[in-house]
Amino acid sequence: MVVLKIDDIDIKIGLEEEIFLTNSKGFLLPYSEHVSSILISLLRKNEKLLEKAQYYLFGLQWEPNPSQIEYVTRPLSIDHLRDAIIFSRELIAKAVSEIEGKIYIGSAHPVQSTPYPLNGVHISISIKRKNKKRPTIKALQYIHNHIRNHLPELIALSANSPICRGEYTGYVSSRLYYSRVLSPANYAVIKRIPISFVPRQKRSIFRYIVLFGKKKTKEAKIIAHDDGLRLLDITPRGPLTNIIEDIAKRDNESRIEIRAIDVQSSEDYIMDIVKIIIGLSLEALDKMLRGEVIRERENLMENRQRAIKDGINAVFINKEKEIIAQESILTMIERIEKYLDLLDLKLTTPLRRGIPEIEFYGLPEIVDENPKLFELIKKGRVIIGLKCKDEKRYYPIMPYDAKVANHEDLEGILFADYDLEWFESPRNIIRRFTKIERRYWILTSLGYVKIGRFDRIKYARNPISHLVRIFNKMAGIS
Amino acid sequence: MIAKRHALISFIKLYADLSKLEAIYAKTKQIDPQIIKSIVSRLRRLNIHGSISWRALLLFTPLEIYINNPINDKKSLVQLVRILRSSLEKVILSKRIQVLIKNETQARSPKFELYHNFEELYPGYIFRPGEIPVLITVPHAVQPLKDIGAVQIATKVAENTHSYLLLPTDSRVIMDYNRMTSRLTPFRRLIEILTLREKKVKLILDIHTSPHLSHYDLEIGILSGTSSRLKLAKLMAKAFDKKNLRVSIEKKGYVGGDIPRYHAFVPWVNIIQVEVGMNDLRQKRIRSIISGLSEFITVSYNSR
Repeated sequence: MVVLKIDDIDIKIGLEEEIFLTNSKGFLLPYSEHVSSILISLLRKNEKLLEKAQYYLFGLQWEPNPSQIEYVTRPLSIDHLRDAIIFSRELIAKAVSEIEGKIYIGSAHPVQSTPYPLNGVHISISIKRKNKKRPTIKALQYIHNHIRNHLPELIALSANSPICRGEYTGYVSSRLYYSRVLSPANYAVIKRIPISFVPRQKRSIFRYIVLFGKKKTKEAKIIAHDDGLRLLDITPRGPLTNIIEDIAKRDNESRIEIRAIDVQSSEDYIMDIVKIIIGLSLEALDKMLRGEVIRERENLMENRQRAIKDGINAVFINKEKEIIAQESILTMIERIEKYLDLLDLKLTTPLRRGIPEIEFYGLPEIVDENPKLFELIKKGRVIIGLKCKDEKRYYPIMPYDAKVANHEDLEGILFADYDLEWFESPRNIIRRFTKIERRYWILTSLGYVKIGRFDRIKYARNPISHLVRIFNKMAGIS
Repeated sequence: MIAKRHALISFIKLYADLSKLEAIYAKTKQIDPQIIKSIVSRLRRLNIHGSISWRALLLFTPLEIYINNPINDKKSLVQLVRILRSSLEKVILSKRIQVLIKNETQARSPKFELYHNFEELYPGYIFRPGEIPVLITVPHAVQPLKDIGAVQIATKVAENTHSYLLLPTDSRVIMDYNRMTSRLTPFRRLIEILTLREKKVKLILDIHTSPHLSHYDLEIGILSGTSSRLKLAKLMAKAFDKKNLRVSIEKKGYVGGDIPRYHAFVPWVNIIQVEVGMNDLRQKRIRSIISGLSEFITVSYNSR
């Protein structure tokens, strides 16, 4: 029996999604500045487009890498969110197509994320009574702690970045494994703390140690990290938190932000994940109204790690027993469906059956006939001697250098090149890479020669060992 | 972290040994075997520090020394020592090594991966040989994101002065030849061959245009003096002054990209990046720029 009165509440969702810009060959395009200026001129020319952008979007953001761009939606009702995602993706794709580029909707570029740059999607949820300005601090605490307890399931459902630098990393969410800005959040507590204290870690944002601006010396705050760190896998946001960046924010910006979600290529998948988050939030509020206490889930961190590694195939520890992630997810979905029914929301993708996007579409194929050579490249042992098994074509550096390497021994520098295949829909939006092909070349003093499958590496040195060899040889001459 | 600091110290010590060897050779025409031994031991010590060392070394040492090193006499050894010493100067001065030392990220280190299908990219350039040791490059010569007007200026200056000319056939959207990721391409290899192997080129003018240069007609970039002698930059500024063009030296931040950073070996190979403001590209002004550049090349070539 649901205690929660659904007609009395207002749910708003905000979404921030990072997107890769690529060239026509699928490789990263580090020109977000150019794309942004094209975007502005597109919007200036087209009033209807501008109106729509203003309705859906709060803005676009710079990211650390110039081949990334992020759009940030306004807080929207669930009915408008899907349109906002499609609109934003298509808008950026349209701008980048002006310089013959595309966008790739994924968390890690399969070749050029080494492991950075990485993309994510941040979902913010705010649930309040219709006649109130903001959610209560207790409601925020309940929603935060309840979703946090289900992060392993959410990660298992959304993990979508198994490949970095052209190889499987062994983690279904490489993004969460490698990310330096997604620390796990603590169980959120409400504390009465001096409002004015600014932790030392935030001195670059706020120079003050203590601020005396307000009369109250202590105010109730929701705390998910003692130092007010914002970059967590899930965190409460807004003026009710101890996050310094949010100190001057308005009441209606109080929300829970979930950052642990990998980018989903399909709008339907991301919508279903949003719906699950709504269901969990409503369940948390229902528990609050019933007076139930949400305690920290046992083995949460261990399960989180397992979800990052194995995704939907992870085995969670639940009350001393092991349970397959998919089963745990199905139980969760079954539980929250009654809340979604109240809003007339249905899961429309295979997520309903516990099948995430990565399982549904499958992994990209990596074609590499000589994986040992890639190991040499990674170790820096790129100065090689090669015994050619057959006749080779030289690709000369100078046009007049043309010749053929006939069963020769070659010396030079080893490197790899790539060819990518992908699924694109609509035009200029790369949804997923389907094939990554890596080949190897030797750069000699005369030109380039493609390395065949049966050619033999005679030696492989790193540049320092090579120099040691040269100087050792010279000791004799000197 | 301590090991990484040690790597930097090892680089500085190696640099000191190479300088010593060069100085002694200049005085006595002899190579001190003790210094060679010391260099070998420093290199071995560097190798112990792992990937940080070879990544930092590869930031600026030309690939040429690893693939074309028929070192069989003192002269060729000293040549190698000079290149290495000059490269290490750049390594030690570079901020990138600090990035490498701070964290293990590979994002800013040289890679032996070409983010393109090589056969599709090949050869990727148009080359016109010259008669004087000057090369003019325009790495952003093709649409989209082409440097408007740069090809016209470069071609005309090369014609006037009989300089070498190197233009790409792909847009920077496909391959940006002024970035580290393009070092393995034939375009960049050709620059290295002309400067280090064949020694046909001593001065490179890397021509760009920009819409963001409003207070000046041109900006000269020499990477704070690490890509060219200041004397040459001043000589160029003087040539533009004569044409009534407003010129700045590294005031707006157009200091130079990967071509000057990687291929310059001052004082043997000087590279100047010329950034032309695009706000006023009337033919008369372009003619003044062409004439200014041509005069600079003639004067600097004759002064050698």
